[in-house]
Amino acid sequence: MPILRVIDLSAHERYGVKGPQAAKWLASHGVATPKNANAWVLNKGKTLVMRLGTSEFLIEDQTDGKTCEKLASDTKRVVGVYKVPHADASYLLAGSEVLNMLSELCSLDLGESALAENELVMTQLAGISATILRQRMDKETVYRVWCDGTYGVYMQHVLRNIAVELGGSVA
Amino acid sequence: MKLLTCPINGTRPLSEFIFGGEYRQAPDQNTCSDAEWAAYVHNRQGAPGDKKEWWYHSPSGTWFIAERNTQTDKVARTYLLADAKKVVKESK
Repeated sequence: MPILRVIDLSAHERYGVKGPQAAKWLASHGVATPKNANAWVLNKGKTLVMRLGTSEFLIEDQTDGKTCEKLASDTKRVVGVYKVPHADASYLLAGSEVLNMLSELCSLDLGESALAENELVMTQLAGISATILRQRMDKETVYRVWCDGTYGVYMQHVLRNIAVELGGSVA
Repeated sequence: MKLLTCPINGTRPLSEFIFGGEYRQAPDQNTCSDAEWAAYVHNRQGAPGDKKEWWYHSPSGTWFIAERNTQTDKVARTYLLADAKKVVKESK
């Protein structure tokens, strides 16, 4: 297992929606949503659906996902459904030192005992607001991070610096 | 580290929160007098004690109410404004 991997996934398609009718609207488009606040589900292995708080959703297509494109094509206005534009920077963090890296950046414990499977946290990472979740990918534990896109360069710089500090190298 | 509990996101360091001022009920602007409205807009109760305050959890964008004693800095409870009636009912 490599010491650390930092992969920039900012190019993935994203779609945001919020409001009291947002979950119902997503269901009408065939998008399954998590029942609990601050949780996530993977739709058909292709689309990550995150419930941020109680009534806001961030949807991100993984490789081959087409859900965001489909949702964006529906421009009809619906009462209680509000589109949320997203221009996030997004990273995948993995490797044997990933928890050490996160402990340098975040005051919360993000280990398996504190952050349950299918839960997400909205907290501060390197001093900026971020959404973080843990998932299993190809039998490996990885962390996904989203933050405002304008902080993307800063976040990448910080992640790379810590990766080098912890014995990794920048490819 | 000082901590505060967001009703949606749980207990977090105070650095994740922003103070939003005292929560005050506005008088009915259609029926109140000019003096009552002016008092609401310009006057604040500065005496220390139990206060209801607006707080904002910035990573998630959650506004909520904290009942805090401004003399002892003890937070009695936090809740969403939408749950305020339920909280008051439960405490009776």
